[in-house]
Amino acid sequence: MPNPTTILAKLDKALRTYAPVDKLVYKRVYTKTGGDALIGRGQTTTSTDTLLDPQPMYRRMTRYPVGPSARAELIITGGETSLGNSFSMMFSATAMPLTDLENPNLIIVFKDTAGNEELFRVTDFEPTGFQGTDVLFIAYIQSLSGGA
Amino acid sequence: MRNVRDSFVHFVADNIAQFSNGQTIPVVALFRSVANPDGEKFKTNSVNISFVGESLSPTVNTTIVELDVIQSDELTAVDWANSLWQLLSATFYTALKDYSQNPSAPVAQGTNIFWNVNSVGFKPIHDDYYFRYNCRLVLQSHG
Repeated sequence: MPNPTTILAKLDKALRTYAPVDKLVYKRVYTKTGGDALIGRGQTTTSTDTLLDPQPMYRRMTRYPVGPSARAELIITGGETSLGNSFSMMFSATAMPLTDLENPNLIIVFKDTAGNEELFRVTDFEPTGFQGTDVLFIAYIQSLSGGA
Repeated sequence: MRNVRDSFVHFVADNIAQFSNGQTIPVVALFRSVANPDGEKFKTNSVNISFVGESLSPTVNTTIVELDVIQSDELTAVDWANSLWQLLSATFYTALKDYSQNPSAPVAQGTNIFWNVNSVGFKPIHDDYYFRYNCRLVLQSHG
């Protein structure tokens, strides 16, 4: 008899096996102290990056996977896109619980092996649960920094 | 430009309580920042202040500000809009201050920010989820 814990464990195992790793995905939480928050003056901002474990699966919006590889993407002719890169991501609730997705000070960070970073804001998300427990989230993220 | 923003935001936030009839009216300034990912989004049950245009001049600078009362309760929004009207019509200017060095002790710049009291009006903008009153004002300051 499945329960949310076993389903989540299977999801985590599948993500660790199949999730792409060309860019590692982190969650970054900003903490601001001091200064005047109302006008954004004089605040000290620190950030903490946490590598997501398991890594999420993701795909660029307005593209769809073709061929045998999920990375072989093709732009849909006539597709519409917003400025900046938009991705649809599947997070395990282990790596990204609801409280993180609701945190207004959290962003998503892609990092490649060369040290490049791209920052993303979570614009929306949908939960999938089992017996009242969140198992995974499909989140939509949009680039804050442009480029890939 | 930034001093105008800072001074007007503080004018509203620091003085609205005098006209709120005991209600707490949160005031937020909207601005985009990577470290504040949702900073430019409207906050519900708050008075949202955003700046939508600047026109610079050697004599008189013009800044366009929008005040949006976002409320889940229309009648509360009416009360809050009335509080804003009382605040913005009680005077027609506020001191221009520099908050850059020490935000808790801003330095007066010796000039003021003005607005036209007769231009204070609140227009409802329909939304399926909340009630919104929008007020657009033109601020003028010495260039």
